[in-house]
Amino acid sequence: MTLEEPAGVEHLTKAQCWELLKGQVIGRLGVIYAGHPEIFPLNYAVHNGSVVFRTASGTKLAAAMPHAEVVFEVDGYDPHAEQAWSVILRGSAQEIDAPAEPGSLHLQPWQAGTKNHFVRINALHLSGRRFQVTEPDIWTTPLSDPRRASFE
Amino acid sequence: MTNTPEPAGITSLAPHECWQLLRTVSVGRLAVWVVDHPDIFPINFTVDHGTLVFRTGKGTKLTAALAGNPVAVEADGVDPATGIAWSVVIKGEASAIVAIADVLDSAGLPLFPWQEGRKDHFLRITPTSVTGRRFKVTEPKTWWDPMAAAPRTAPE
Repeated sequence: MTLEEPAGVEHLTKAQCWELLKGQVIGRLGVIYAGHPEIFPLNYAVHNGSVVFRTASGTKLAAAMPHAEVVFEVDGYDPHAEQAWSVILRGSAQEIDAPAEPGSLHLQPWQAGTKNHFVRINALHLSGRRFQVTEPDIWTTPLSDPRRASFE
Repeated sequence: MTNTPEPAGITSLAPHECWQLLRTVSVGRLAVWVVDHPDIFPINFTVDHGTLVFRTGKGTKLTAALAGNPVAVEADGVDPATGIAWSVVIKGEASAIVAIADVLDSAGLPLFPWQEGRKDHFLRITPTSVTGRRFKVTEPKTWWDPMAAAPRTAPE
């Protein structure tokens, strides 16, 4: 995809991508809505080889439905290795029935509210890369593992 | 606590609050339209006079951002002390910074590319809309309670 790939970028295998996806809880969903890209953070889970999230009726769902092309991005930073990674999943979003045991998904919302719609992203493309960050300081933002900070 | 369909505790942010929050972080995500699908890239950005500036090398990001389609940038964070999260979205159009004085100005901005490599292109996103919200990160168990569709006690 990229024309010139800088040195030090490691392309991740699909298995590595899924491992990283399973290790996080918050990603960003990108959809095109009314000709404009929309992006929002949401909480997700990996279930049966796909990314599942919950949403309420509203912009997110309306924008992503039905069978809309979406992109989902998750990234992270390993402070010990000073390596950052980013996994991109592209596919179509589809509303699914609530899993028989939704609790097993460990889906936690980022904000309160009734979110009774389950949406699955059927992955068409999955890619990821990992690289040494040039300036570790930029990663010491409030983004650094907010979940742990707020729950423990 | 009633079973209201509207999420409580979400505050919309005024534009100046959004800018204030954007200045506290340097990593965001750029959403662009690439040919026939949306794509997302993490970027390192900085705030410059009511615009966002970031650097990039040649590639999908540059091509897509300059294709004339609108773009969106999202940044977020959580105050670990209070559990209050925020998310700000900037929508607008990206343009390359070409004037030499502008590039020199921008090069003076605290911009660090996300990864090594030549990132000779400076892009500026001039916003057409700036929106943000602040909300309390919910406790895990509150997520599932609405499924029961039964009255429940407040988790607090």
